[in-house]
Amino acid sequence: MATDERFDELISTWLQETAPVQVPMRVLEEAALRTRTSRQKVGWRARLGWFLVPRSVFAIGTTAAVMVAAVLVLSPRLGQPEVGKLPTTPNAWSGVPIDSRWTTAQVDGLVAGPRGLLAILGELGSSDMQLSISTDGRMWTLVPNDQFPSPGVLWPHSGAQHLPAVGTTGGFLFVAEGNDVWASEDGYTWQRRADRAQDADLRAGAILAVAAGGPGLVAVGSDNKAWYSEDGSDWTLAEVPAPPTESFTAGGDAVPTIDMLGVTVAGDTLVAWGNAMATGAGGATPVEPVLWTSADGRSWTNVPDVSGVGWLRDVAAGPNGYVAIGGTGPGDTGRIWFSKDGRAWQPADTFEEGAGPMDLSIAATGAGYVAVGGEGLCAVEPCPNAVAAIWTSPDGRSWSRLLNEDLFTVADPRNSPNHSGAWATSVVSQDDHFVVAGAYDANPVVWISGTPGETEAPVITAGPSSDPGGFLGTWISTSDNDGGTQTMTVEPSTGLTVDVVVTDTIATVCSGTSSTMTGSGSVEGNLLVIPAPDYRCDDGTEATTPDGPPLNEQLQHLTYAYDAATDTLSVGIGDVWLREGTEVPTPAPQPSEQAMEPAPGSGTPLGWSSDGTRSLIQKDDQNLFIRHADGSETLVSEQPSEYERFPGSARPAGAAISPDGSRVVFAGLTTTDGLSCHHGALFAVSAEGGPAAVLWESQAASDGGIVRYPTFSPDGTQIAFADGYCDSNHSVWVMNADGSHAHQIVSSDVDPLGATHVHGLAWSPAGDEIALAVDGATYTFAADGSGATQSAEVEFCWPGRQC
Amino acid sequence: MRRDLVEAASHGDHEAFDALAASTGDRIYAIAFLILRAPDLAEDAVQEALVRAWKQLPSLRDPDKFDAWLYRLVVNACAEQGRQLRRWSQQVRALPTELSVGDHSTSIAVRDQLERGFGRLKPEQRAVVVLHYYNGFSASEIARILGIPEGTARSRLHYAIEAMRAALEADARQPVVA
Repeated sequence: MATDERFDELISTWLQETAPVQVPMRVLEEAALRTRTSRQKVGWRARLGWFLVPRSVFAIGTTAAVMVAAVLVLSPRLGQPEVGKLPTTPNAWSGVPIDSRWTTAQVDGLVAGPRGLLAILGELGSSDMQLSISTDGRMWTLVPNDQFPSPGVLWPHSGAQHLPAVGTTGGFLFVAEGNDVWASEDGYTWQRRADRAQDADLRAGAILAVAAGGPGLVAVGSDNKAWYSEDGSDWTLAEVPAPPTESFTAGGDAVPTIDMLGVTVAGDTLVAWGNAMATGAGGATPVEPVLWTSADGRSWTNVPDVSGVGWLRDVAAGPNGYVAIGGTGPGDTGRIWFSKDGRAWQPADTFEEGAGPMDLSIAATGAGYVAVGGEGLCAVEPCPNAVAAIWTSPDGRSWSRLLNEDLFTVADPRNSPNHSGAWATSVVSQDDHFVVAGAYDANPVVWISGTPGETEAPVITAGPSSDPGGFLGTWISTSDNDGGTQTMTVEPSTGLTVDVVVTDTIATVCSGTSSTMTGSGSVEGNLLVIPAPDYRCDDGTEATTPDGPPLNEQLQHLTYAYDAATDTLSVGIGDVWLREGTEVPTPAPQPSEQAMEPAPGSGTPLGWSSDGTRSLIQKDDQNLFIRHADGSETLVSEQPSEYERFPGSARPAGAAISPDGSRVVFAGLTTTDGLSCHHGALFAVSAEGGPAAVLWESQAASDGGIVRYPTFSPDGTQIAFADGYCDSNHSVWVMNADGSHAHQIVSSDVDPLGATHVHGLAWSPAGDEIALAVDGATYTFAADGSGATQSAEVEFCWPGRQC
Repeated sequence: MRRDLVEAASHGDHEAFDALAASTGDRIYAIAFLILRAPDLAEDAVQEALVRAWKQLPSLRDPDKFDAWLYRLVVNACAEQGRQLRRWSQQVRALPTELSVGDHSTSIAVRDQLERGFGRLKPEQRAVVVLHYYNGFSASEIARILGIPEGTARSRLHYAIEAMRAALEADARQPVVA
């Protein structure tokens, strides 16, 4: 074999000889085209969002620090249009995945109202459905199906082309198959508002669409029927003229049935549309469009001349007038018609030549119109050729399609063994914005124009409403293990404002003398935020801090979270306060740092179920146990002893118990053969024990990397984790709790995640931000990876680690 | 001038970015091709790296580091393409070839063996080999480019070369296939 020098020369010569001289021009051209439709991301920059405070301020005599506060400020987003501007460019849109509990699903329908957005998610290939709600379309919360007596309640009537639901100032209203009417103030908690069995008018036909108009609410449906109601509790059949059957020019049977498919509102004018359906051997087929208008929703009149329109799919009322979309015959879609008044119609445009798009939907704001559809759809997944399409029009007459290839890159298709494309199912308008529902790579998604989060829509709060009551009283810290006692009193001030006083009989930062912190805070949901606490040593000396700026500066926006289920306060994730007089539960809801040093055999606590009855314990370095409230333990994972031969940064780290205490997810290796820093994976196991299943395998390298710190979102629906090599190339991922829809939210391409080690990962108490601790710094970002900021660079010790 | 282009591109100037891509396209394509040894995968990696560069450009804090940063994106894109390459490579069974001596065919045989030895490296190892032996970067420069510790860069390079030598020696011990 050649000498080292000769060998080096051989390799160098070989590479020089085999290297191409020029990049093919098509590569640069294609890249240039793709960048034209790609949005630049907001850069990482310093901002104090979550921040670090030396833990010694509150409890102990070490230099360890703990994250104590979450001030959740959304960063401004680039490339979005001014409010009210028609979103005609890809930069004006952004995609947001919605979690579902299925492997493949889509957003079946969407409802927008003053209180937010309601999406109905459907599993592909089954009839399972679930609701999800959002204030702004960017953060979504799944609504448990136990809100309804059976999941089947969520099924709309099979003939409905759009979701028979409406958003009003009072909340949301949803008409289930069979015409039972369900209502919710917040989208999360639902009650049956009208019972078909008790209302004869509701039994006259199937409600297919609902709108806010007339006396309050109007509905249209099958068999030429329409209804009206003031608040959804009592419905009355409206007067609808008999169908002008003599005008029908084609049909299978002698007398077609009439379905009123939809209704739209423009000022005081209501326009309803539908089709005359002829029933033949092949099922119902539309033969003629039918249109109605009404001034009050109580009585309707037919539009006498519908010769200008074809079979109707959807109609929207916008700034210039009404726009209808549909087709002219079997297999034909993509036609557009326009009307100034809803009565006289004329052809306006077509979306596509040749094979038209499917599932067309249209909506309007004051700025114009948006229509959506999809091409290349197929009946069975995967549908790699499925393409979502968005068209915009300022006047309803002339339309242009958005160049939107990159817009649909909201999920990583490489995570799916069978990649599907994207498709849109519907579009709605919310204030001055459009929200498109659909699927990308067979996962639910919405695409949003503009910045709906900045509207003045009231916030949906699925958790406790803003009420200082839970915070009021006297609290004792469970984390003060320096011999002193920390006591906090919270007293009402005005409205949602409270006065807070925290005393510490032995304060390390005051050289062991006592201290007092005072402040005025405001309650926001389940959070108490104290913008400017004033911390003083009682002997008049200056409080000292091991790192960073002065203490009072570090304490700004100190935030406590109240957990109604356990009646506890927590500061970030490390410090728990019990109401005075409450016995310390076993195990404690969160560990003190002393508790992190286990007695022989007791293990290291890694987390608790939200009700505090189960804790996850790690013993003997690796093995994981569930400790129950009675002190008994269940072995859930016996880790291979081979782990011990891997150095620290090469070893998998982290385990988490789900908030409901039913599952454990832990980092491990698929094989202990071969090199370190490879073969990492996440595993899931029942808290009752049993075999662990691989949930996700590392994608950091060709042989995988090391997965670290799986952590459940506070609502238990998602898991965040880090992937990477031992010391480089780290990225952050989020997946559904069942392992589906894993997607990277922070790329290893991002500069700060180069040469470093990952020390921890955690969700914010509200679940909308994630913190990542690496060497010398902590970064925080929204749960979708956007708006990343670096916190103060202080020494950091993650809860659960020895520092 | 180049710094101006980077700053303009980071503020959304497509023409400036096109100019940057054109000026570095040949170099990054060569790197991608040498790592992946397949033109179609290399084209995809370059295209992906350029699109990512456009998206992530606002996060680049020092415009003077654009070229090194782009190399990193290319190498990362190659690593992802490499997963496909790995699957592909597993279907290709390399036939052992005798290391000939003393005639004009020696270089061809060595090339073949180098190709096979290189083909057995992981994309991460290939990257440091290419950056060192083709681009001439030192281990410390490679560390900065890839955002990895210098020790990691050195060890990757060391193990890559050792692996190639071992592969070649193993090939040399194989009997000739008729």
